[in-house]
Amino acid sequence: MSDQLQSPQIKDDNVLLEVNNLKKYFPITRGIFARVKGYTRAVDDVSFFIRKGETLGLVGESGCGKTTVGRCIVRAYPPTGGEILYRHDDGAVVDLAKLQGEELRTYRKDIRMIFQDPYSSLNPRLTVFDLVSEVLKVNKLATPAEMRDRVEYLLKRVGLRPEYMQRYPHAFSGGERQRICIARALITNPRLVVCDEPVSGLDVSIRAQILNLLEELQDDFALTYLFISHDLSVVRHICDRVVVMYVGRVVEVADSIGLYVSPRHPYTEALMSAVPVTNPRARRSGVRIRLPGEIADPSNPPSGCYFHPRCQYARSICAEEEPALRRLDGERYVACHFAGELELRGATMED
Amino acid sequence: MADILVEVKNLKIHFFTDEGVVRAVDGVDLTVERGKTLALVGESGCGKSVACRSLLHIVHPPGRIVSGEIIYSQSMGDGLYEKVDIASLHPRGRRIREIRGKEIAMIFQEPMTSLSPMYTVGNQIMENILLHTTMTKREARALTIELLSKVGIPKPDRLVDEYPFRLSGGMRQRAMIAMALSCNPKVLIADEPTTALDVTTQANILDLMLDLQKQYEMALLFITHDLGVVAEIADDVAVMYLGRIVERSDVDTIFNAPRHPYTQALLRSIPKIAMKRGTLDPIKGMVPNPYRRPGGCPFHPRCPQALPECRVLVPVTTRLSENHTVECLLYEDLAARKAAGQPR
Repeated sequence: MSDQLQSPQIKDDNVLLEVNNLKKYFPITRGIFARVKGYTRAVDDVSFFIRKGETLGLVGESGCGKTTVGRCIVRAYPPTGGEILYRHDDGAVVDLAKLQGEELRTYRKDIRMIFQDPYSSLNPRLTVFDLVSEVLKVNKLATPAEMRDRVEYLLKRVGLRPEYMQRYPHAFSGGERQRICIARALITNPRLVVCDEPVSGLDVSIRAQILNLLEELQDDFALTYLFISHDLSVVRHICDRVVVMYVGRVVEVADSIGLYVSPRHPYTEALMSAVPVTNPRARRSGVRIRLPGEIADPSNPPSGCYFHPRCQYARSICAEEEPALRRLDGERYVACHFAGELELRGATMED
Repeated sequence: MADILVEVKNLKIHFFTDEGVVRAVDGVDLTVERGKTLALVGESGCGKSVACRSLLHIVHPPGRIVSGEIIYSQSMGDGLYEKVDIASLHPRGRRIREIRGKEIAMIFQEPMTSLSPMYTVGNQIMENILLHTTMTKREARALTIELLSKVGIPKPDRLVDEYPFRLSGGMRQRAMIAMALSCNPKVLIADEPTTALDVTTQANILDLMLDLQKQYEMALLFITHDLGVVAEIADDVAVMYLGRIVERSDVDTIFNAPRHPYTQALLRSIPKIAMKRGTLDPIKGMVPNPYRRPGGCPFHPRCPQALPECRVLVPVTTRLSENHTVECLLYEDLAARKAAGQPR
């Protein structure tokens, strides 16, 4: 890994953000003196990178730490350890994990976030104009006249009528609110947008509209997305590469076609086989893998490979030794002792 | 042998609010058959939850069943059946209480909010058993533990005394299923039972429900907006839009030869695993404001195939084949309708 004493560097020029050994532990406290009795390892040694202009998916079950990774990147949480290397326009690289307070201000406009629930992430007491322009105002990035133009332009761009600028969020439906959230994220001309389950709360027909909008905006504004989701068919649709997480760790990284066609980690295989296939004729074609038990507790994870108690291919070594994330071929990284040998099935392809 | 357990005829449930009348369910016909799974599909606000809750006669004011019948064939033993019109029963009467939770049970959408935080899981399941059977508390407790192990909850003898907050989402949903199954219901209504769950948990819960259905020969009424889940489990599908069932058929026809433009558009708008990256084909606009229902066919403002007539004529149910009905002017004989002089 990179030398701690020198200024941080990213080897590949196309990489916008590199996360190295990121850790985020939440203390578990007990008693009136809040004595720390343990740690929940929400994110434990996560490494991946995001190239300029790509959409990187981050998938996993609830509680696997995918949202925490996103929040560490926008620095809503201070990481417990590790590096978040970010490359500027001019090529200079900074480690966001080490910055504090005011130093972060410039990055707050470069890296923006779209939250999951458009109902709770918009302040009901602010008008759409206030909501969207808030960042500009706080950071003194524009004069009032410019602000108005820019908000108007962006609202139009995300498919809302600028005349509705003075309305409050309650007057909008879920899909429209998510458009407001997108406009708010894009108002500062960001380079990286962390989308945390942006379509999970939406109806199917609205979901397709928002996904199309996100893709259009990516092309128009040269955006890079980190797309956090648990919906594998949405991830397959929008992402170029995918990172699969399980209990705070990365188990597999692959390009999205490869991951779906030939997963190399048993957990990915199980995830793929659980995705409902939208064709009743394909119903009986694949034998589903049923994961026994529950997702492991991140404050008290199992020994060795965290997945071994639920893994049908587990052998004795899996309970003893932790598999490292290693490169298999090309873009593929897998954390499994038997990644090279196992014959795993991909998702059932309809049609 | 009555195979049709519930028959809903021309059901109308309206909500009388200060801003006007919302026709949440506006003339719905449904049949629920023994051992079969009927999926009710639609976007939020289409009235699917309201329609299903009315089967238990849970309609909260300002909502009211305005007209229509919900005929339930109650088994009286010896192959005899008594037909009960649930819609005409008193919502708090003794008769509906005999049916609710015993004959027809329901699994609600959010396992987080539909279990009481003040009682243990066991208490809540036992309540239903004690209410509907003559079992003693000890027997009910034994049955509860058996049910919990049947739905796949580990260490059921310990979890029976736990409070719901100690259980994960999947486990709570299992507890809800155990509660619904506690009196061997003939009809099980599941209102988006897996929407809040992860895919792996969802797959397990769906398998469990199908297994139990086979075992008990239950009729399953499954409400969802997830077409993937529908394709996995349904025998028949009814597609709902703004309080009307716009298309109904067996699952294979709905997915492979849908006829209503709304069904077709819904299927086009979902991302599929096999699909390459590219533009999705969404339905334009959104579900209209319930207070401002469009005239004519309610789907016409969003319909890519709308005819000029769609703005004025309300489509009627057209039978395309034995078990395929659709409500769309494209499949109606417009000339005959004009000749019959039916402007509406």
